[in-house]
Amino acid sequence: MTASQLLAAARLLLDRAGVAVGWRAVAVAALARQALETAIDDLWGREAAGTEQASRHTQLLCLPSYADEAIAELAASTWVSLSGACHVRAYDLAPSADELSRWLSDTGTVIAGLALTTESCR
Amino acid sequence: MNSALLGEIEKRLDVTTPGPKVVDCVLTACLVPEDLTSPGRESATKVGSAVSAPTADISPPRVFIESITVEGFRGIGPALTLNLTPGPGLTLVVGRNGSGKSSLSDAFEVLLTGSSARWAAKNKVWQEGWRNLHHPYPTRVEARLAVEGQPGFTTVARRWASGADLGTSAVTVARAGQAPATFDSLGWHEALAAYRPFLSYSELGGLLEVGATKLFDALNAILGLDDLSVATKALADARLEIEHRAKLTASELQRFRQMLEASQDDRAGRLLRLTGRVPDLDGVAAVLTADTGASTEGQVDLLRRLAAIEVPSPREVAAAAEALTSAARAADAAIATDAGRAREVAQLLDEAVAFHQHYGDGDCPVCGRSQGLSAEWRAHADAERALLRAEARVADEAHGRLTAAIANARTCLRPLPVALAAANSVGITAEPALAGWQVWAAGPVNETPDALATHLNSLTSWHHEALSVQAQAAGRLGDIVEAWRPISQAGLLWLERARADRDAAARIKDLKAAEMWLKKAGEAIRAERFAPLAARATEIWKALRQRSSVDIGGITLAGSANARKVKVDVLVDGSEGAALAVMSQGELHALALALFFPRATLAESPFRFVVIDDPVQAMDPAKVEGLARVLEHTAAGHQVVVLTHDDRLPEAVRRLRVAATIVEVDRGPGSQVLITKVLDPVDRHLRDARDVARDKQLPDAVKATVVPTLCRQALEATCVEIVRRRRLVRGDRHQDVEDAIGAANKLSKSFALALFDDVDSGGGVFPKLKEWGWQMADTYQACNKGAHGFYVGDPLALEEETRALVKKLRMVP
Repeated sequence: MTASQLLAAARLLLDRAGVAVGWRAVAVAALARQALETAIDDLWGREAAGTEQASRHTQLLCLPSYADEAIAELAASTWVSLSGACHVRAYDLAPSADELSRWLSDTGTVIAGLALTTESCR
Repeated sequence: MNSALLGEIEKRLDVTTPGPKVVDCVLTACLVPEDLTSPGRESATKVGSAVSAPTADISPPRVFIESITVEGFRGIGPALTLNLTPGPGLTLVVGRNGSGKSSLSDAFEVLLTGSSARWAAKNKVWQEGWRNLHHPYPTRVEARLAVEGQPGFTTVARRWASGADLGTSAVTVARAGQAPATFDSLGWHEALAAYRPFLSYSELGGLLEVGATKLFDALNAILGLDDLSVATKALADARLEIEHRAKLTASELQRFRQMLEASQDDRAGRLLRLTGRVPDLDGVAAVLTADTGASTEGQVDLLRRLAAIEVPSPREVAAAAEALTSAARAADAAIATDAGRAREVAQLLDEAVAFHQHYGDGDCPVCGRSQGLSAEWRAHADAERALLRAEARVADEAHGRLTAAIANARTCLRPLPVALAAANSVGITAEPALAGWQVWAAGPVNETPDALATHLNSLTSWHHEALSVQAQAAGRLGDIVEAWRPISQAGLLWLERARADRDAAARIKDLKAAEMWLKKAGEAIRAERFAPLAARATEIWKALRQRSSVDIGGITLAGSANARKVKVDVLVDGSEGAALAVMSQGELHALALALFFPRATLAESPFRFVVIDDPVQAMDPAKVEGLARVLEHTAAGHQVVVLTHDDRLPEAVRRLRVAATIVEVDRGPGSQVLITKVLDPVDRHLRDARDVARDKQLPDAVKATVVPTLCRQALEATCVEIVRRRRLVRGDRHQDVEDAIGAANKLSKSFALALFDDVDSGGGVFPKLKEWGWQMADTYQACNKGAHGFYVGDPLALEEETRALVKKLRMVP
């Protein structure tokens, strides 16, 4: 699945559920994170092959060197937020529908941004 | 009134046009409020001078913190110094409960304000336990501050003698190369209250509860509307003064009327009628100011006439009598002399000459002598007559003098005054005088001079009585005038007041209208000015709330006087909720923070720092993340110092890659507190570089691009740090400092600024670094060029070499 398809799937799941409860919220977050990672992997494939093998932390540190800085920053913070939501912790609450919705829209922005950056670089 | 506020009021006056008199009242209240209460007001003349400069011009210079040193205060024993980087940026001070970190923020607040919000509410035991138990020496809190426009550090120190209590301390202000100053001279008192750059945990909870009116006052103060309340109060005072004066006048009238009622005077009754329900001021004035001489009052008039009777004076009468007697005597004597005979002979000759004239010469008809009357005789007779007449003149004169003396004597017989007959009606006994005067005025029965002189000499028997009547009347008249004087004075006093009040009463309506207008305008202006603050608070709330279902609809300063408060409209899942009751403790804290930041970071505040103690305690992790973002945003323009007891905020800051300095506070035995720096923004870039360099999966080509980039960012951050500290401590304008840093858009320029304090000395950078050693120069070159993908060396080595260069750079003064 492409990054956009994964994001669409996450949106669908969130819209169906209406209210994000428990596993459904985790599933939405996981799908979105996968979409984000796919978009980044796509970038590496075109720009710096092999980077996708490195840790995500390293990848996010490298991202500003290959993409628009604002997009790279948004990608990093959204990834951190989505990763947090993927792990259900006893002391933490599940993300709200509002929050999930905002992260999905941020993910969309990052996917579009990364694609645009690559095109303009070419 | 400051001109900005005045401008807004004038604008509103133009739109609503409340009437020229009301406009006049409003403007006077705004420009010269003191004139409203003093009667002689002239608003137009002072307009120019009364407009004060906009508050921005008089605000004290801006301040960053360089270090805070605390000794012997609460948890801190031996001197402990928290070093900070002057300038915008975020510093987290992390320490366990009881590590002494809150003592740091408490001490700093006490240093600047003399007390602490956290302690103000506590009991005596708390307030007495402020001194460190392990530290027997004097207590001291000191801050080194970088003040805009002030070269070198400004050191503010507060010291307590051994055994002194918290409230008894001495503050000193020392400035590089200057005489010691007082804390007051810094001009921070008002700003500390208005912008309050501290927020402790206890305040966080109470900000919206007990402190609701306090918060209202603080927020109201920063809106710069104090002048407005001064103006409104002046209007109210002016109105009250008029009302008060009217009351005084009424009691003055009461007093006047009581005097009138007690008065015997005929005028009193008339005045009582004139001062009824609606006093006739002009009528009263006419009575009070009328010339009392023109009064036709019966009694007073009679007394006046009695007092004015002309009693013959004994001396005058005696003189007249004597003159009469002597004149009579002289006249008698003249008759007995030759003069008398001469006159009679002359009269005889006159008649004989007249006979001769008629009948001509002839015999004498008296003696019969023939031809006695002849021309010859005639000549002789004429000569004889002239001679005789001269002799007779002496007797004539004596006669004339007697006639004059009689006339003079008669004038002493004054006619009886009519008033004397009526004296009884005013209670003065005048019978003896009346009888005496009647006889006197009638004159003697016999008209001879002797009888007249005798009459005159009879004066003594009655004129004493007449004089007594005259004196009694004059006395009575004096009494009446004397009794009226205080009444008349009271009346005139009241009249003056009443006339002033009559003019003032017309103003009350205008004053009331002006007061109402200004109140309404003030509320509108307040709402308008508060709107951006409220908007910023709402924004912060949105960042902080994260997973909360509570949203803020609006924040307003509502009510007035004792009912004033900060009103927060709360929405739960989109529908209106029961205000603050629905919010959790964590949400309340978040809301308090949201209200704290906009106020503490206003552009007008001289304090470019905020010190926040433990904001995360009741927050869930998502909110901590939001807080990290809010802190990052605030730290872009402010020095933000946050003290926190657990790792959640530092963790969020690391995870979200928020530029921050993190220091740890640890407490050893004997209140020995240590501060260790664990991370700063330079450090973060270097750690990132090391993480990238160490990732075995990452292609070398990528490392060769990314590591130099991150190392260059570390160098740039170091340069910014150096330049900021140097220039801020030097007292440069903050905007100039930021502009200079912004202008250094290349690494060579950043280095030029850091090394030579001159952005255009880029050419000197490389030679200077070579002086430090080829390794330093190479590292600089690698970071500068490597970012463009030309680096071929070992990325891990580059990170280490960059670390060394950073260390060397930080030693540049």
